[in-house]
Amino acid sequence: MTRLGMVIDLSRCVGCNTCAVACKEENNEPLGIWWNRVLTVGGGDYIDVPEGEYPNVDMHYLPLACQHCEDAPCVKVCPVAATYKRTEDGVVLVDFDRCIGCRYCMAACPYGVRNFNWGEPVYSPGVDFPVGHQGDHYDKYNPSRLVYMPERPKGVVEKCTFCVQRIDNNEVPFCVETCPEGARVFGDLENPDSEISGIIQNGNAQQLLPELGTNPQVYYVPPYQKKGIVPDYANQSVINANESTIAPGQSIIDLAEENGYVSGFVPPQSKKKGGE
Amino acid sequence: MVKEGYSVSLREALNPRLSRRKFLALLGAAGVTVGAYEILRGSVLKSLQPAYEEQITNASLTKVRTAHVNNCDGSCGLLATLNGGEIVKFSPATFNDPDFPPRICLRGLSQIQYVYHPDRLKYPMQSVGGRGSGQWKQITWDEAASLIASKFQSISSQYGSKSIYIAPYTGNLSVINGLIGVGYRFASVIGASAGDFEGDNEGDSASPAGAVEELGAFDGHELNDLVNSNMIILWGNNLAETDIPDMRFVLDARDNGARVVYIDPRYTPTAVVADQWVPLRPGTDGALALSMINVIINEGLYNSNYMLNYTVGPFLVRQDTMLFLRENDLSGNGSNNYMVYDTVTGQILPYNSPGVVPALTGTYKTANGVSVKTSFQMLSELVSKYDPSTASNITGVPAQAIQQLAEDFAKANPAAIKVGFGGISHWYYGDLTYRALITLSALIGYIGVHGGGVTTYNGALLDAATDLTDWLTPDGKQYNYIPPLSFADQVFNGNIKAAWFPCDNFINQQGDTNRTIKAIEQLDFVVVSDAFMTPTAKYADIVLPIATEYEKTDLLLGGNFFLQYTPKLIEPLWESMADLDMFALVASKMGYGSYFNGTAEDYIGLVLSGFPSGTTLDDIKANGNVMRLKDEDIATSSYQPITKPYVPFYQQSFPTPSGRIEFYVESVVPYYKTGLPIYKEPNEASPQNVLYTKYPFVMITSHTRFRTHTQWDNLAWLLEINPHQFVEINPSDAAAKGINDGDKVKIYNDRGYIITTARLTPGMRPGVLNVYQGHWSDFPTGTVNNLTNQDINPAQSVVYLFQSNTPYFDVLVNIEKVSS
Ligand code: SF4
Ligand code: SF4
Repeated sequence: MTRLGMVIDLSRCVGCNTCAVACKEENNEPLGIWWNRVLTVGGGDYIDVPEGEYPNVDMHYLPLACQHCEDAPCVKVCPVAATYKRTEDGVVLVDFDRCIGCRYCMAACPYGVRNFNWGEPVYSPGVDFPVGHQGDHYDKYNPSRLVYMPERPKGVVEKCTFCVQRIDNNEVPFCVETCPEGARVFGDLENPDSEISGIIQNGNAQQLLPELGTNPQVYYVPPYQKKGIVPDYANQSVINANESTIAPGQSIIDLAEENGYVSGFVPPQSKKKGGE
Repeated sequence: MVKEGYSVSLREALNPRLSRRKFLALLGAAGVTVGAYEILRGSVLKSLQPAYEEQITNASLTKVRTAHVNNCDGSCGLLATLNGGEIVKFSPATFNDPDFPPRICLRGLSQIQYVYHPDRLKYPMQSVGGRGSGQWKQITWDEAASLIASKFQSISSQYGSKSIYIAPYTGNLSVINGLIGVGYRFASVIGASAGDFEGDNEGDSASPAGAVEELGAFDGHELNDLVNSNMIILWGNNLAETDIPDMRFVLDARDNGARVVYIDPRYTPTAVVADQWVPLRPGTDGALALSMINVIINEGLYNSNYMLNYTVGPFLVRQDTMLFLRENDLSGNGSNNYMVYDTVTGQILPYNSPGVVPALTGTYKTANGVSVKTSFQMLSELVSKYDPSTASNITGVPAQAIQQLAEDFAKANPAAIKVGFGGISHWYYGDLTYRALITLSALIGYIGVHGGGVTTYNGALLDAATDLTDWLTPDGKQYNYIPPLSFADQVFNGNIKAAWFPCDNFINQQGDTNRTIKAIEQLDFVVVSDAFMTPTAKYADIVLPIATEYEKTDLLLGGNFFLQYTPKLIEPLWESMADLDMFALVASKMGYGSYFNGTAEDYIGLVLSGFPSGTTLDDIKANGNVMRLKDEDIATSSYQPITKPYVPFYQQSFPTPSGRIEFYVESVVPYYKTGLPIYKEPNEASPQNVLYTKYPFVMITSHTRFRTHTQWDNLAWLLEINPHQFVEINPSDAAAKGINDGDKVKIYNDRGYIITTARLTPGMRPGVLNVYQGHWSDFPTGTVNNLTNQDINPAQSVVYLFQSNTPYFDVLVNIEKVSS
């Protein structure tokens, strides 16, 4: 069997938001809707603000979209089976023909990545045609399910599909193609020889909120650990960064604890997450 | 954009007031073929197709390779998807080169919003209420061209044609409709003045001056050479935010074991992924570099062989004139030979005398009693004043960290220094700082080797190899050069009477906006051609709507080592027009039409005919609209053969007067009293400045990832992520001023003020403010250049066609909370 997954290497992520904008373009997301956002794990209410006291400051970025959980809470609560997990590759999808807009899934999702079309979709001024993928797309394995349409109407829930319209045609998700730092890798988690499996094994990759048992198909390589001798400003000296006491990946777990230090542009309906 | 078929009807159909199922039924019942799409859906599909197939035949989708030609220098290839007459998608495009991966950033991906932006200028307009009044009358292109032509003709006959100034493009790096393009040809043909070739209308960089002085050319390593480095110093270069795709090569090198050091007063995304962030007091980079040189010399870590043979290190400098001692000084024989102290004979001899073994150090006396020192001796004496603890007091970097940094650098073998066009280049003495970095690199012999060097610009140095004469200065007609930074002065002293700003938001970006506006107000006539009503366009008498880069044909040859053909993808929207056609129209009204008869493709052919390799446009098209430059096109013959990735000075020959690396530069002696890369306190932004008591904050104006200078400031997606304009201030400074996060603040000095919002961040150095440059002047109040200055460092202008930079960061201000 195939389990499609993504690994995001936070040690290479520079928070540029190219992936977020790529997602916005490919999937024709209306204003106010972002399937994929780049959060700052730092010290303020805004992106790019570190924590600490100058110059002993720290931050990293955390791109966040649907985690395509193995045991997806959203799937369980959907009363009409609009949200479903594709058995063939484990991708979690929304059937726009079926979604009734009850938003149970949004309440159930622990990652706050689902967006709801509260009103008529509004797009970039002047761009009065759908951008990105053109035309509807039906699930490759379940051709009655409408899993992509360029303009989702008011009243449906939408979220990252791993660019189902692309992966069904053997292309990688658009964020993977566009990430300027090569921080994103897509592939089959079940195949031990795949690039993604190698990175997960060697890079100490982690899932978000592992304690919830959702078992996401999205993994993160921890933020960059500095190496070598670095200045120690408090003592006007130098220290060895290799002896830093920060545990690898600690910051990812910070997110799990919702410590309020996560900032980013958060769609209004998901505001309960993060520190906004 | 109302069009046939698909979009309109599908949009209507998807209107939630019509149920989606009803739409399906409609389709099924009528068997509608909607526009270009055959939409086979639901039950229709199932009956037709037993197995899965893409349910939509995108018969009318076409993909065309173009490029992002804005002044970010990334020059990423863009693959445009067109659906009939519309551009519906931009993706990264291949360079057909396994060593140079496809690349893009959030700005390139947002271009559709630019093309179809409702605020685009739609037709020519004439100001009817006076400059800046915002009152316009729509006119035809023919009327506009006639008005411009007659105005230019009357100004020419009254003041001479040189009083018409055609500003260089900055928003478009192309060769026909942009930076190296038709504006110069127009200026040449009508005998007008024009700015510099560098494309930095506003004088955005001091590094070319420093590089040309010391190395003879402003040239850099190809990006993918970074993987050959064992250490990379990003010196004042927030690469991960500004040239985002370039950072990939640094990360590849880092993950391959290279140590990445980032020197910057601010904590930025680049600091996040570097091994070491070295924060320092703004503008003291030169002192840090000299201190590193001090450590390297004291510890004997320098490459004396390299210093002896490839630099002016052993050449003697007269201590009376501070110029090189020449053979003629001693023998009167007219020879300009440099002199050295020969350790074999103990005599001062021409450096190229047979059997001479020059001394690298020492102070000597000539036969006629002139005291002389080797350049290296002088460098050693200079840097002895910057031991790590002294430099620590100047820069704020711990002495031990300076020591370590110097040792790491010297032992890395090789180490690369990567500088940005901003950063150290935005200081009054940026030329000196850049020279200190080159000197540091040369000291270990890192110049001209793979993985080494000091690089600002990663693109090919095209003007060295290509001949653009026929394109820019036809029939020997040559525009009159005016350094754009001197624009205001030239207006005030009557040399400029009319100006045309093509794709150049000059008022927004020139230092000291209020002075710039005063100058523009004095002009008899102002033309602005642009895609939007920019703050500069508001001051025009005639505004002309320019077609975007996707609506005109061109060739891009900057930013990397590729020629990228950027064909017209769609017809110009509204009444917008390609620059070539626009200048042709005006020229024909002035009687010069014969110089503009060709098409864009004709002129691309003309430009390519100046390439030694003989590459043609058809070759580029046949290769998928992109082609790596041939070796012979990359640099002059003295650089041949070249190496890949491209490394400048690989042959260890330097087009300087001595043919060597000149860390001692004679031509700047009149300005600095020495030819050494001395450290000088910032011209304005120093605590030693008397203004400091009144204006105790240094204000830097860095680049944001959400704009390229002033471009893309109005794109909805980018504004959603980055909705606020703000000043970054350290929480301790804010507390002292009673400023809270989000407060409205006024930043001011004697030149002007702006009103903006405070953003408290511990990533900002105490005593320093950062306002991202490029936001249009409704800030809410004012462009940040209301606060910057136009102080010109004459030492930088010794380099021909590279004007002095604007010292955008060399600025003192104060900040106050605005009580609501
Ligand atoms: S595009 Fe890549 S580097 Fe940029 S924010 Fe996304 S994951 Fe990070
Ligand atoms: S703005 Fe620069 S880095 Fe971004 S896509 Fe355009 S050329 Fe590339």
